[in-house]
Amino acid sequence: MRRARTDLVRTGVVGVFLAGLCYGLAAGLPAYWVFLAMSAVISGVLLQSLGVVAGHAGMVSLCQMAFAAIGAWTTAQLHVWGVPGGLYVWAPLAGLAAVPLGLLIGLPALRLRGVHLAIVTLGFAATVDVVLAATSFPGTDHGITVTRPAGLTSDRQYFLFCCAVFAIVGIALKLVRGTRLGASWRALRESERATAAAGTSVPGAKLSAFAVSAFVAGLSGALLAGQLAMVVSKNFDPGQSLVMYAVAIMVGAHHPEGALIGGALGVAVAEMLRRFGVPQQWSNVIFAVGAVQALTQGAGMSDAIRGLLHGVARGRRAHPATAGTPVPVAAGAPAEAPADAAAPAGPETTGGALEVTGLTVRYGRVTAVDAVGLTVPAGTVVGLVGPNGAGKSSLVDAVSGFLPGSAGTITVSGGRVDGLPVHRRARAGLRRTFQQDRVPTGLTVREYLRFAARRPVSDADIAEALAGLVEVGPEGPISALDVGTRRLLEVAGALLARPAVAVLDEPAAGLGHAESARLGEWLASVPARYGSAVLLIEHDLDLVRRACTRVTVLDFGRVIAEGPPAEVFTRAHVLRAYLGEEMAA
Amino acid sequence: MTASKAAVALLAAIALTSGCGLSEDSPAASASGSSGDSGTIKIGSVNALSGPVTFPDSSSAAKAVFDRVNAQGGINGREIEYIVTDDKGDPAAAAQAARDLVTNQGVVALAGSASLVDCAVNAPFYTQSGIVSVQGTGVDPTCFSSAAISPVNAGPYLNTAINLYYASEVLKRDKVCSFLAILGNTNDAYGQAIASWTKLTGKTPVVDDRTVKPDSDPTPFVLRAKKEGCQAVLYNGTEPMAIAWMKAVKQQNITGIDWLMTTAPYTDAVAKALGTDGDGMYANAEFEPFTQADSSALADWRSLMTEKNVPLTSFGQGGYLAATHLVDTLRSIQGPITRESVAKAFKELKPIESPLTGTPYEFGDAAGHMSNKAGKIVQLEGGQWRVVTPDWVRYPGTLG
Amino acid sequence: MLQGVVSGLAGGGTFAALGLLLTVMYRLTATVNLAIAATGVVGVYVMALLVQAGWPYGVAALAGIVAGALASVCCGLIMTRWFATGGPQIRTAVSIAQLIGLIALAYICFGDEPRVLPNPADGRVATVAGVTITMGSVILIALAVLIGTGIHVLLTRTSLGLRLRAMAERPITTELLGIGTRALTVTVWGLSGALASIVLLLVAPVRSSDILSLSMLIVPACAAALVGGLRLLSGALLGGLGLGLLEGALAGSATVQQYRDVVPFVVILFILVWNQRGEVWDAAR
Repeated sequence: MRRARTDLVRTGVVGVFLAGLCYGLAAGLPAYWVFLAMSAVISGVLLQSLGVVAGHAGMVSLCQMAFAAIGAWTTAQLHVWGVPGGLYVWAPLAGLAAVPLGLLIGLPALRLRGVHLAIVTLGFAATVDVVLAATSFPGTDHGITVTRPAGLTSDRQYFLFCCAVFAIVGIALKLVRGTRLGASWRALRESERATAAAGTSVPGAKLSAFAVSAFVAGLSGALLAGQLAMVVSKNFDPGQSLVMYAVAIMVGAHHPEGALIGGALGVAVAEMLRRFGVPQQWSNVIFAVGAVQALTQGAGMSDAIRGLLHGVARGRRAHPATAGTPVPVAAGAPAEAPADAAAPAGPETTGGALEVTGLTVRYGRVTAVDAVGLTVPAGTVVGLVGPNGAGKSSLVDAVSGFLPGSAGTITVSGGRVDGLPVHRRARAGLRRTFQQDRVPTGLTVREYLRFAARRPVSDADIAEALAGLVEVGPEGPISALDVGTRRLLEVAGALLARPAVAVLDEPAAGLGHAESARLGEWLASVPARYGSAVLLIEHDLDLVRRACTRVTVLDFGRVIAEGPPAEVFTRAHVLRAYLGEEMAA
Repeated sequence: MTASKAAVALLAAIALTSGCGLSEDSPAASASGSSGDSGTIKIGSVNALSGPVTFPDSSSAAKAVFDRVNAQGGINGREIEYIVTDDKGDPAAAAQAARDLVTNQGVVALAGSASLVDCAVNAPFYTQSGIVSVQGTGVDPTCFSSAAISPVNAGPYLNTAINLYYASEVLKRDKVCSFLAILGNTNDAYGQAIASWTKLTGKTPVVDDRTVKPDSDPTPFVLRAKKEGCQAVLYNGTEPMAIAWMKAVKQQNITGIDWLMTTAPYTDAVAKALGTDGDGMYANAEFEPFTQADSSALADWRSLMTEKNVPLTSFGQGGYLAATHLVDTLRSIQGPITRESVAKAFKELKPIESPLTGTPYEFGDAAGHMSNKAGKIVQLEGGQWRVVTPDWVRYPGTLG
Repeated sequence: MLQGVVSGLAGGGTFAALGLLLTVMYRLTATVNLAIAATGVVGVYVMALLVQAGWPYGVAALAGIVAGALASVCCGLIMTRWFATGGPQIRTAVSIAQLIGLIALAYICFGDEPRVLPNPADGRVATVAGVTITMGSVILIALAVLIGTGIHVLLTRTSLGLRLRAMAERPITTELLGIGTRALTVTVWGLSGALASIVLLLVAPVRSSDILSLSMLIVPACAAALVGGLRLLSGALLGGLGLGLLEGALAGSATVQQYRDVVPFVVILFILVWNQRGEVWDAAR
């Protein structure tokens, strides 16, 4: 509680200091420098828009200038129409006008990635440029220029207005960053499959990232129109979009300070070159080299600065930090856990948490899963084992919705989910984890668990979810964890959502023997703690014995045995199928 | 949430601060620069010096003029300091350059600017700052429709009108076509030029194609001109575009069409690059054609440019002319030379005759200026430019 | 209509040739080299400089081709030195940065004044539908076909091709087999740069020859390569030709003139989305 208050005081002080700084700059700088600072802040707003789509969500967008152009065009048009409210009203409207285009470009992004997306967005930028060049900006032919409203007429006042817009955008994006939407953008960057499996709609996340990005870019276009009074299509040249993308990478525009540095660099480099009489083209060379340099580091300037500051801060309070945040390590379930489990949102049905009948998966002429039936009763942990290539992974993919072509019925707590997309199945109470490491590294442990839970969770919930499973502090970044730990964290996240059933795909891979044993005990306690049933896919038969009440054996896509582990693992044909040559030898 | 509190704090602080103080800067009052009678007289210009299309000659020529004035004792003993800035064809850089000149350096006027974006981006700012610009090469339509700017050149729109007029009235071609590359907000200005010609002559272009792009292959357009039976074709391409156009004409072996270009390709580089491939191509010189070595009208310009090592180009003529007009006007000012007195002098300017142009240079109080309304037609032959019309072709109509 | 189509042949050959180079580079080095046309521009301008200095065209052109190859090798070295293990996203970003840097450097080194660009193939071959087909367009299309078939044969029939494919598909295994993948990769970059220079030497004299316009030939070239999904050589070839013919046909038609440049983009968008419609997820599994 006290920490929250000191944080509050600190951010308050920083906020007041920054506001004072802006005012000081506006009042104290020579008029020319105010203009330069204004340009820097407006580019900063545009870079923040790139920070959303490219920085957070990891999608290439080479058409930000086109969005800005729509914003500026709208501003000019609103001015010509004489819409009341001045720039205060026009700017948000300009942002909104860019949103449909953002959504339009977001649609191909649902299927196109990487270089495909780069080409499409570049093509889009070129197209908007062609259309804008053919139809000049409203008012320019009649010498009507965008006028600033009362209170913003001087450059100094307008500079403050730009600072305010930049701050609002920065703070709003920071707030969004803390929400599930913001986390979903960063999760998207890591893995679309994991994002969907956590119950988040991938199309929704992508489209929202493009929409928000277009809105912010549109705002910057409106600011530019207000700054220059007259804009032409050349202000929004597609080449500029390319350069801006390079700058965004170079500075790390997903942090507001990075965006500001980028804006300032753009202006400062041009100014320096001018002062020293060097051709302006060199600035693009500098940005190109800077971007390549940032890419070799894997992080832009803002990340580097944050890392540096963080390192200093940690060095300064190294001891209190380790003492102040003890890692919760409890062997068993905490005392209050069963009380919590008494009111799970999940299953109340008497039937199975997960029921699969006649599930069939075909890849071409190969039948990977052949009419498999499987039941995970509520409140139980069921194992699914089988040799490599038995069809376990295909079965998990089909159940969780990644193979829409599969046949068969799947019910979760009595409700049919086959036919639903992945994220809808997840929301219906069917969670899964992955064999591959797909935990988004851009999040902290707490952010990830909140994102995965899809429900309000307190710090106590988080501590409890981690207890006995994985020894990490909630503040730490996931990127600092090893793969085995990340995987356990994924398990904790899936269960924190209190699903009807959690399908865990080899959670023990990469764990040592002792850790594996502890995981087995923890899994056995899951139904009591969370009210969730578990379908455990695992190679480690000891773990299965320890955790599961029943086990299903799969071979060549068919169920060959089913029953309590102790009994199933003694059957001859199971041993033959599972251990194969080892038995024969 | 701490961030939201920070947001509130920051917004409140900004709202508080922006409310008080920060009264309006009067751009005219602030940094009025070399006011009074001491120090240098600062003159500025905004130019495309780097980037895809550059016009370095205009400011170089203007500098040559100012250097000569300084060598001869300056204006009433005060030297002229000529500040040349680069906008790299980028509107943002042009805006930055203009602010630097006007608010930071405190120039009293602009002269000899040659840029694709300067007028469009900075015209409102010049008006607001009460400064005048004697544009060396104006391209954008705003150059010709701002109270603060009066270019010495004719500009692509009047060029277009003169070319159409020359094709239909002097060459007596019935089927006149126009192929235009529309860059930026030039569509309406070209439209007005064509409409003005139509109004004057009662004729309409057989083809009015405005879809040429700088990087498109000209072959399909050249073929279209042939297919539609054009007898004279107007094209507004820049140097590389015009070269590509004429090469396509040559490749397709098209004959019997007169090709009329604006001023842009009237350069030695084009003549050299095309060689005999450009035979018959017309261009419209906005000033006394610079390729005429023996023209007495050009004697002073030619000797000055040669002395100062400035390439002999049409842009150089524009810069020379702009600087000369400015110097004449500065000399006429009684009392201190400030931004206000210079602006006043230009607003009250009597038309200035010059042997380099067909019509006198004007400024005055008009809302827009297009005083150079004449051209001389030149033609390429064997890699050499040749003057076809020894007399000025004055355009009798008005644009817009 | 037919006239327009025929007049688009030269453009089609250009797009196809560059699209093929993109496809091959993607298959062999896992990079979409957006700067490939820009490296060709370096070749063209070096040639122009040398011709201006009085060199005979043949020698100057050869020097230009070498210069283009060297520029490409530099890009390739950056890519292999620091981004050998980078994902496609990072490589795309690096490529974008290289494009920006190369264009800027080209302007700094060569300026913007129009150059005398001798046309090595300006003879006339035939006249179809009132359109003269030039030697240049025939050579360009032949070059595109030659690049396509040549690479196909190289990759499928020769041991070098086998090694190249092995390198592209299993770089680490190939390295373990004692084949220096880095040298091979950089060679691929250099050869692509040389071929791009040849293509541009043929195109530059008949198109608008400024640096930016020529470098931006990459956009239609990418579109052509995408028609083949960046894998099929035949797709890139046909895509490039189709795009050129479309450009020519649209230039001749009066109805869609105004937004003519939008049409290829829309066509490409649809082809791309259709090709990739199955790519619901970012990773295979």
